[in-house]
Amino acid sequence: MSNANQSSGLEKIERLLDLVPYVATHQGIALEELAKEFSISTSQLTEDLTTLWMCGLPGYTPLELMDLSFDNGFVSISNAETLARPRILDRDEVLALILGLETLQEDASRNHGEQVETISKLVAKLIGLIDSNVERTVQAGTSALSNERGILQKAIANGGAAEITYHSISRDEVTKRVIHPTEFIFANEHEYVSAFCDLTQSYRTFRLDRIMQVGSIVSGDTILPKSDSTSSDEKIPMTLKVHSRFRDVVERFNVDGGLLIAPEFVEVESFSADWATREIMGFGGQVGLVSPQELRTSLRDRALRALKGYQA
Amino acid sequence: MASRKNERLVNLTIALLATKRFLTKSEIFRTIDGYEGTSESKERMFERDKDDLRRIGISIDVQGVDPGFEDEPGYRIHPERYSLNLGELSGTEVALLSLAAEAWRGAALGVPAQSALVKLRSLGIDSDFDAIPNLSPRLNVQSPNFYPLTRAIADHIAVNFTYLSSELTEELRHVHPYGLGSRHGHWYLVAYDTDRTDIRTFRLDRIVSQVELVSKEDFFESDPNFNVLEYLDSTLFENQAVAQVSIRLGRGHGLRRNATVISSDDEYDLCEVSYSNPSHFTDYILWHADDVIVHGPEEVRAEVVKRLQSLVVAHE
Repeated sequence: MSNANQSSGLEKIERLLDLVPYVATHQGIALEELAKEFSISTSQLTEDLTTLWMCGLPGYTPLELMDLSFDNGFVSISNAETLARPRILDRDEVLALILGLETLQEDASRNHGEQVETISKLVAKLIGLIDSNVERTVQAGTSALSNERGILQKAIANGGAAEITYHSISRDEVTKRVIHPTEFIFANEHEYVSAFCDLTQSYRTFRLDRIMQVGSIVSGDTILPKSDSTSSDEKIPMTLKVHSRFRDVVERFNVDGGLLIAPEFVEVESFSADWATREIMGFGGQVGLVSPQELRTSLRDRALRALKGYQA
Repeated sequence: MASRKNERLVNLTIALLATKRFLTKSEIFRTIDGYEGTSESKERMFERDKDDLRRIGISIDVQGVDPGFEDEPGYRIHPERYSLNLGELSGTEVALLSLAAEAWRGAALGVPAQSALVKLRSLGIDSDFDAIPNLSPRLNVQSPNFYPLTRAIADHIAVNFTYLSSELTEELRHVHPYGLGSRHGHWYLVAYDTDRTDIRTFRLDRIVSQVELVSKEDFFESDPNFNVLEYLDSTLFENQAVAQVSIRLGRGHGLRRNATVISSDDEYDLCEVSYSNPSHFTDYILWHADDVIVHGPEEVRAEVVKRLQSLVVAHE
């Protein structure tokens, strides 16, 4: 079912046609499970199955009608050979699969080299199904991190821990640490894994694309302290004077909800004084730090130290 | 009523799929359950039913049955064009396709990905996930504009949207969308801007309004060989220049990804670093404060020094 047909009233006929091959290959599936697979309620599903029960080949005697049984809570079907093969994939479905395969490609080349060719062949098969140059006009590039995510996912499922090599941007340091991941979070266009970190003995979030390496799962069954939302880290409030590049300021300091107008002074906060100083230095004078005073002084000292490097 | 209609559509599909020869309209009305009323209303019903089936991607073949009766065409659905055929698929291939579909969970193409998954599972081939352990891809594109843009690109339809400029003003843009591609965690739209009469690149998360598809009449031609990632790389991301920099030991880990160490002393590594955009590169050098010193190219070095001086002045 495509997004386009979702609201056109045709999703029901699509679902009816798709239910037949699904049940035919999953005989005896529980009503609840089948409803979940089709993202509908069980009463909606029962209604669909009742409709299908009236359908078949012309003649419409029990000999021609499809034979459905579902009153014991489990669904099976027979006499449905005509509709038993799944329908062709539509353009949106093909596009979704091609993009999904593309994100797998790079990770496969790093960790499952033998699958790279299989993936390319699948993409070629899918392209052959639609009359379009979609594979060139919509493309998912770069690392999808599926291997890192896969190992962390396993650790979450087993209650285990994994050793990661992490590039902490707030201190520009690379450290190895054992983390006990609990969940994936998606925020501000980036994906994070939330975990208890053995190194800092606290709950932290790690940006997935800054995890340089994930070692194998090291142990399971560790009893972790309860997550404390009142983290000891406190945010440092800062006032910036912005001359230009307002959008960059909003995006990098994650200013809540963006700004409707571009004011001269912007209030921001950060957990890390070091990171905030670097970000402001990156703006090279187009953004100034007004307060706190001690950060302002340390920023000026850093700029002076950096300048010394050019006087040698 | 609605369920009667759906029943009729299923019955029509079954009959047209099962027949070995073309069925005429009168045969259809006589044998398929649900066509009732006057001959005009049967005709109308059948026309609508054909449209509905075609709209959900079922192709109905039409042929004149008897050359003597040209006004009595026949209809059938070719099973080869109705059902999914991906040739022989191994368990590993089904597993890879399933992972590809599941990558969309909760994201822009989640709905078609799920229906594709249902169809793949209906092939009755067991997935072999053991062949590809620990892979869990995710497509994180959340923008509600992603899906309408894929349609506009495929159908060559012009679109309008509001874009957040670098100074946070909202600009109304009119474009012919050419492609969507992702690099370094962001999705970009490449499009011909009809006001600026040039190709422009837009970051998807900076499109702040809903994308509005202009009427189908506003159709445009696009280069059939356009390749969005090649375009993005050649304009935004291709490393075109090399700088000589000193990076303090144990620092500059992001910068080191594109660097080769030439020599080292007890404080710095002297490296060659490749970069694409000189202005972004200057920002990035400055970001490292006194941990990185750039020696060349001279323009970059001069710009870094100038900006450091202005930082000092701004924070006196």
